[in-house]
Amino acid sequence: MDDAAFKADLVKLIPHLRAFAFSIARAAEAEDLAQDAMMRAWRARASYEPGSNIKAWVFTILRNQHMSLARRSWRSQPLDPEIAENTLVANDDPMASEELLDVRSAMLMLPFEQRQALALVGAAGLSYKETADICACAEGTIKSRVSRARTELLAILERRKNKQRARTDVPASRAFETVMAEAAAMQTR
Amino acid sequence: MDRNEATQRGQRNDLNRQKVIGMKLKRLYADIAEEPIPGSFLSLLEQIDEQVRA
Repeated sequence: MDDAAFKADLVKLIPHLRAFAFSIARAAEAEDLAQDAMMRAWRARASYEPGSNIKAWVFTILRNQHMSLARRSWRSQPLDPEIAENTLVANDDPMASEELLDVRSAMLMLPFEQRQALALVGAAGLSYKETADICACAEGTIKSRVSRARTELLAILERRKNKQRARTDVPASRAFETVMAEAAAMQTR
Repeated sequence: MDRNEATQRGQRNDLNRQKVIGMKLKRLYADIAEEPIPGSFLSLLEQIDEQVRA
């Protein structure tokens, strides 16, 4: 495959690289992750076998890069569940709705490997087989990770909804007092 | 409502919620994939173009 043809294929994959990166990493890191994966794919183009699944090949590069960054950085570990569930999602993406931001931030609370599996199967629509190849594990392992991730994601969103409901049940006269008490509790942690 | 019926209803609810989560995940992915390619990518592509030309 010549360089120009490879580049054309890579350009077509940029939206998918970004979407995958934003599904597994924080917004501040996702753009860099996608750009880095694109450049790594370009530099490694000689090792790509023409005719094979280029999307899976590039996703593998991004996934490996994500894993490697996570090993080096505590920030890429899942958020502390208690703190995350009590923290409002920072809207750093003006194009995303509150509802989707909520799902994205809940995704970030999942264990790393479950998050990747769910992003590839549930969001990107890849098959279990393709995902297993990308994550270098058995298809059965991916099925189990996806199933656990879905259950956990539902539980996180449900807990958040219940907390929000409990907050809105507080009478307006007590609301300020409640917010201040929560802020004080967070400061003492 | 007997126990069996309650269990079935619970399973149906779980299935529905799983479907909703699935749709939200797909929408999250599609929304990002449909965004215009940021300028930072375009500068990187220009670097690649220079390499292709050279």
